This record gives sequence, structure tokens and C-alpha cells, in this order.
Amino acid sequence: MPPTHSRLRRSRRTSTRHHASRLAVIRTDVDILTAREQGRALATALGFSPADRVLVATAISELANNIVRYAKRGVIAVRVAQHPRTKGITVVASDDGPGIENPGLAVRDGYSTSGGLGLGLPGVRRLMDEFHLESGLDAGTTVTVTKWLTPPDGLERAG
Amino acid sequence: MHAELNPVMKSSRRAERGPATDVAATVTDGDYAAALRLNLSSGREPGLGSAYLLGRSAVNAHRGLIDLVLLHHAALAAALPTDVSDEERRKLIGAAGDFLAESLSPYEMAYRGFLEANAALVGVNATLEGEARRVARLLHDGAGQILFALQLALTELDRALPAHLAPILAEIRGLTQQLDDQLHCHSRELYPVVLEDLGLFSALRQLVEGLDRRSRVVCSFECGVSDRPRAEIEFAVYRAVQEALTNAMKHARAHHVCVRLSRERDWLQCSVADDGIGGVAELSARPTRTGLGLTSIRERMKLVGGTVEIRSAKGQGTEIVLRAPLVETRTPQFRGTR
Repeated sequence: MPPTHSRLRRSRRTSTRHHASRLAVIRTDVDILTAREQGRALATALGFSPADRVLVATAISELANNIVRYAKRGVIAVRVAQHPRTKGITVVASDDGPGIENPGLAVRDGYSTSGGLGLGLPGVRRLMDEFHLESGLDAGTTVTVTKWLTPPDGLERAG
Repeated sequence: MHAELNPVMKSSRRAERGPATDVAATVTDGDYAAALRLNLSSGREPGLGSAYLLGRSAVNAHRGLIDLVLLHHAALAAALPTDVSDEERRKLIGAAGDFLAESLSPYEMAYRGFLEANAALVGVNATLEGEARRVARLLHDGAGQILFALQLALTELDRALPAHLAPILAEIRGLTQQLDDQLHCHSRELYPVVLEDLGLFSALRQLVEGLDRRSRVVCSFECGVSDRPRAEIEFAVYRAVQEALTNAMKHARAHHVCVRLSRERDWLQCSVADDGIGGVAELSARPTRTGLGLTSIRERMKLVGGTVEIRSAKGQGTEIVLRAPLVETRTPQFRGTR
């Protein structure tokens, strides 16, 4: 590895050390609060508006509740997201639970038990700028969502 | 399945099944007040977490947004201690605001869902309209042209045919004419292709003259406007006049119908008047076909920022006055949280 590259890596690590990745193991409702608190703290440190901080906490709640309800146990990690022109917060919710048979369906309204009110995973998708779901039967589920401080061009949600 | 979750609140199950009157009580005022009190007196995140769950089950229970805010207001008034300093009071009110914001977050989710669904609906509508337009074009330009050529050929045949066969040919020509009429009628119902080709004024003239020819009602057309309005105005007015004329023909028992176009400052005004039985207001109060027609006229005009006025006293005929703005006005758009 060229020396310049390693120096770059080291300097980046120093600059984001005070709000590096945080993990919360999710088993019960109390753990959900821990994850929310970690997400809120990182969003505040990054300079998100009060409204956006609430939305980040809400997304974490939805994802963590899914873990408690369907997988019993999982992990929620929050970390800084890097982009050449902005920064953001990434939330990764992962579990090794039963998984979702059809991930494409799960992010559509009407599939969920809220009867198309726009809550659940479709709601999380709309609260955040980026949404990625990986799952399969007996393969666990990983949902990765990111919210940018200022959505970079072309990354904004359509509509 | 791992798609949706329910708040861990005891009442949420009932909320999903019960009728609207029952579910309104799902987030009891007591639940909310207790959670707010807890939030003001103890740690931050537990209170906010429960605020979010309360809001979520309120959305699920179809509880109104204003209702929830009023509930918050009352709960705050009751929970705020009187024997504290102004400084402490400000802090508590701030914390209560955070609590409220958190409980409204699920409403924000639902609202964004609504915006997305609405945009999708507009898209679907445009697609359907485009498809109707395409099929109407095919009927009008494709089948219509072949039929026209057929009619020309029949005319030629008429000259060459022995006299004793003339009645048969006359019948064939009559049937062909009927086919032509039907084709144009259906094509126009799908999409008035003639609008694109001729513009609103000529298209309306053609529509009125066609009715005049085909029915026993005397139909006349007067146009005092020269500049063509925008395409969406042309489309809305054409469709509305079509509906109004259908009503007049089918229900009004009129002898005369007159379509009159004029310009009133920045408004295009179009009146469809008949000398029929009137009393449309009483008719449209009942769910009849007439009522449906009027509803669709109103909706079409509303869509382009226009208005509809109906004068229809019993026994004195009916006049429907459509007004559409000729100057485009932009409706302010709400931008969201950013």
C-alpha cells in the first residue's frame, strides 16, 4: 500500500473518531432505546436539524422493532456516511432471523400489517435518502439506510 | 414475516380489527398524559421512545392529527408544575415539544406515503390518458381513413351499377355511414383527437353541428373568442361541454340547445343553455346518471382552476356556465422538512 494512502486513512480515522460506529445488540424494547439514543447522538454531532434527528430515531425504532418482533435478536449499528460533497448517517439493522421470502414486496405499502398507512419498511424508505434491503428465507435480514445532511444531486428520492 | 411491526402497546391489536368508533379510544388520553409526565420527570430517550409508539398506534387507529395535538396541549397543561422557576418551565416546555414531535413522526411517515401515492396516481392517470389518446388516434386515422376510402368507392360504384341494384347499394351506404358515425363517436369518447387537429373552437363547432344533424334538437354554436387556450383548458372545456350536451340531449327534453363561447377578461366563459324542463339541482341530489355527469363536469373544471355555475329553475331550462382561467396560475408547492 503506498504511503500516501495509509496516511490518508489514518487522518480520516482521527477526524471521525469521536463519533465512530456504535453498536447496539437488540433483544428487548430497552435495547431499542439504546439504539435510538446512539443514532440521535450521532445525528446531532453531525449537525442534522431537529426534525431530521426525529426522523432518524423513528427509522431506528421501526427497524429495531422488526428485529424484536420477527428475529428476536439482532444488531443495530450507526456510523458516519461519507460522500465527496456531504456527510450522512448510516443505520445498519441486521439479524439472522427467519428472513423475508420476498424482499421486493416487503417495501411496498399494503403488504404490511398497517394496511397501507405507510408505516413499517415502506415508511423507513421514505424517511431516509437511501434504502437497501437484503434478505432471504432462513438467511437473516440486513437493512441499510442512509440519510444525508444535504442530499447529493441524483441521490434524492424521486417524487 | 419481517415486514411490519406493531407497537408493543396492549391496545394496538384491537385497533386494527375494530370499527372506527372503537379504535378512536386506542390511544387513551390517560396513556398519552402518563407518558408525557414520565418524559418531563425522568430520562429523555425512554419518554421519546414511548411518544413514538403512541403516535404510531394513533396513526394505526386513524386518530386525527389535530386531535392528537389538542390531547398533547391538554396533557401538557395538566403536567406542567406551577412551583418552578421560569428557566425550569422553559426547559419542560421544550422537552414537551420534543415529545410531541416524536409522537407526530409516524404521521410524517404516513404523509410521505400519501405524497408518493398521489404522485403515482397522477402518473397512472397520465398513462391512461396517453393510452386512450393512442387508441383514439388509431381509430380516427387508421380505421377512419379506410372507411372513408370505402365510402368513396361505394359512390363510384353507384354510378356504374344497374338501376335495379341501387336499393341494395343504398342500404350498404347507409350501414357504412352508421359505422362511420359510431367509430367517430367512440373515438371521440376515448379522446377528442379533433382537439389536437382543429383546436377547441372548431372541435366544439363540429360537435354541436353533428348533434344538430343527428338529433331532433336544434343545436347552435356561437364563438366570440379567437385565441386558443392552453391544451389542458381545451381538453377540460371540451369534455365538460360534451357532458353538458349529453345531459341536455338525454334528460332535459329540450327543443333548442346553444353553446356560446366568450371571453371575460382573463377567463374563458362557455355557456351551454337549453330550453328543457330544468330542475337539475333536484335531479342531481339523487344519484342519477345526470348527477354523475355534473360531478364529472365540476371535477374537470376544478382540475384546471375553473368554475361551474348551474342555473336550472324547474320549467325554465338549464344553463351551465363554465369558466376557465386563460392565465396560468401556479399553486404554491409544499416542500417538506428540508
